[in-house]
Amino acid sequence: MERAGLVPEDIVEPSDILRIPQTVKRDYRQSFPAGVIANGYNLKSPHVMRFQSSGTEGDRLVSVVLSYDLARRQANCISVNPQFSSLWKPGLKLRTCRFAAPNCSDVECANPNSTMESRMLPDGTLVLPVYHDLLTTPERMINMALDEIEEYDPHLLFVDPTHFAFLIRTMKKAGRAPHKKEGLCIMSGYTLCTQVARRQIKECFGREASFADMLGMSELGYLGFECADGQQHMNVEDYHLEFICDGRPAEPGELAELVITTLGDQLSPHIRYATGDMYRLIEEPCSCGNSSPVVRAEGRVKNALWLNDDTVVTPKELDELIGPAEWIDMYQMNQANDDEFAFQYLRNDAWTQKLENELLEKLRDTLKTKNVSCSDTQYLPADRGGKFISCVSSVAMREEKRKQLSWI
Amino acid sequence: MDIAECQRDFPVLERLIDGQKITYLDSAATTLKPRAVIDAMSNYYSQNGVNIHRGKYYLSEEASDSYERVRYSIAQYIGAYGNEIVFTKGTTESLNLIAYGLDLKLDDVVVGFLDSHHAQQLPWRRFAQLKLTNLDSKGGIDFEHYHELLKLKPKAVVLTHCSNVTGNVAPIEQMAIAAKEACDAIVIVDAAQSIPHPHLRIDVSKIPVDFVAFSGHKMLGPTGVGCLYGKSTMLNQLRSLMLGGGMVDWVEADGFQERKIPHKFEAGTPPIASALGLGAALSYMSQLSKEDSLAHTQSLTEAILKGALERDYIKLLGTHSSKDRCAIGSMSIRGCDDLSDIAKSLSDSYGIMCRTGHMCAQPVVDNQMDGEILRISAYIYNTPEEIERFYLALDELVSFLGLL
Repeated sequence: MERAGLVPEDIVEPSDILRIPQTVKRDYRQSFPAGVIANGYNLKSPHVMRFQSSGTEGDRLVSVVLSYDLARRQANCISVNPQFSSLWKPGLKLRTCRFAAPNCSDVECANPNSTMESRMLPDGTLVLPVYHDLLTTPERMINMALDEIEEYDPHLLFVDPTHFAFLIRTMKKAGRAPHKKEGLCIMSGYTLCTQVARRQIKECFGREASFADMLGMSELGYLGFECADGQQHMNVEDYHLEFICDGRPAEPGELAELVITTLGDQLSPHIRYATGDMYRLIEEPCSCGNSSPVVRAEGRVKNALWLNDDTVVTPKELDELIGPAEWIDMYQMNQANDDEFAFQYLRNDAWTQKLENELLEKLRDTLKTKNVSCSDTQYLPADRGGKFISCVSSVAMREEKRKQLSWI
Repeated sequence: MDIAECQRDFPVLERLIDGQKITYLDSAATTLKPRAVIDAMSNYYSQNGVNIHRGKYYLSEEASDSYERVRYSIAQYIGAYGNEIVFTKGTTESLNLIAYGLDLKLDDVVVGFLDSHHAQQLPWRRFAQLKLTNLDSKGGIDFEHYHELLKLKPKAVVLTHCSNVTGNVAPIEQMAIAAKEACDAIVIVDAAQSIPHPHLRIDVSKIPVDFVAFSGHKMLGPTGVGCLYGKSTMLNQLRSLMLGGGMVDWVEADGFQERKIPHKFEAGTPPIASALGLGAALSYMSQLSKEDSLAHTQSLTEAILKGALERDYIKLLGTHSSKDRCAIGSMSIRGCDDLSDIAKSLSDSYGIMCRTGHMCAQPVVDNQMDGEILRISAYIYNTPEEIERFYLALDELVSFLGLL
């Protein structure tokens, strides 16, 4: 603000916030801890929780949040979906199992020799053992994860959808079944919930378990949640949200970057924090009756597919094109260069050549090129942080492209 | 990528020696390196230069990420899983690692091939009884003899996808199936000479091979790095060759626990820059289509065969058909006991770089050729015209050296 010639007193009207320069992940990484933790707090202060994001391409970050801020954000988000109200039952000591990429916490979840006790977080979350490269997870670790779910008997499974779909497939192969469905709450997060992953989770747990996708960031926690009607609602109780397109507020339906300002965060406020996440605002009110803004999360700016005509196809748009495809267990689209797309997938018994050909045609139409390859494989690598990204693009990593969509 | 235009990607081909352009015909020994590979290595040293898997600082994680991405790319290229790719120094180390780690007994039989490289023979001789499959009367693999040897119920069958002396491309899929059907032998493939060719790409998810070994430097990459693919079930049973830092999870005064595959085979600091160069080489090579790779190899092979068969002073090793053959020509010259003078003159007078000797395959060279050979081996940056020029130079030399 000093560099922009502003002092806090200059910010009077809501519209004044547009005068504040945006902040980005790098600012928080470079300024941690002295520049991002408010005076009077330190990492040992009561209720201070620390999160780390492994990031990709050098994007790692350590963030801090007050536990009660995090809980309030979570509650405000989840409140849009009554199917999850059982989690707030008075007196309930919530048991959560987390199954997602490693490096999200300080526990050694990728170490096959770790114990349940060593992976238990203070809030009662059991971090299940996971491996850095999902599809090469040793059988022993898969069995450990399945055994521990049974033993801990969680109320809530908080999962990366692709990781969890993999666990479901291996569970089925081993002839095992979920130890419980009725009353179980499953939330997906961390990465885009692809429709093929969602299909596998729903096929396995049916209607007896509640399933919804959360929108979040490791630096802030919950940002939004899926309602019972399948729409994504944003939390505007704890955040001031801006959807920015070409440096101005976006119109409904326009592809925009989400910029967040935290409200009431006394520990580590984020001010006009450019997230690098793409969204579209939906104008129509949601059929669920909740009045909080409805959005469509389109995926990361750095994962957008860039076409020859300088337009983009977002990871969400790609996923809609593929749909719940019963013949695909997992997929990855990779744009290696301009006009060079490779779609690889793990297929199952429902595969037919016709289905593959039809998808390839759709991909070529949407990407406006013939240079799309489509092939099945048995292996798709996760990124080094352990996350599996279903849509990756070297072109989107270029600065000139990134700047067209984001302030990052 | 247009193969005809790729010469410009190789800086060394811009070099003049005594004012003369270079014609490089020793790619079976090592390939030249494209600029992309040199840049990848140079970029690592100029922009990073730190160790991998050691620190939490930015540069170390950046280096680790890049290094592991190469592993994943190689896995995807050959249809393997990421944890089935072990980085080694090259094919030789990979094959030694398997021979050492399989817990063979000295009376175990291993079936190999006469035209294999020493690296696919000597390690097996040390740990077991190696029986070699002969060549047939046309210089190809004697399959009848191979099937006879399979009746010995070998513990392992050690295949060579493409011979570095005969250039023969073996039908490894059928041979692996035969080995599995005969006695469920462990199948180990030396792919050093085939991996540079996209049309000979091995998909380990589709053929019953247990191990595949290859080197980076024969596929446009740098020296000092290579790979061992092993099925995860096989790698989990294989004993580590090297012990030290980086390959253990836990060490106590009286014991240690090895890391998971593939890391338990990668003790010490690896050749990081070379691995990154290998990644760049794979990206470069992946731009070549299978069709272009096959067509170009065939045109070079035909030029090699035609030139040799037109000259009665040349005796050529291997089959005389360009089918299932790489652009490798190993030859002896009638009346010439010492080929080194010819190789020197080809280099100094004509700028043609090729090799003489036993090519690390002395059993087959001695068996078929009675002594040393002169070998030319061509790759993507060569043309059939260069092969013709080689033969014209050879004509001149043998004439002036008084060999005709």
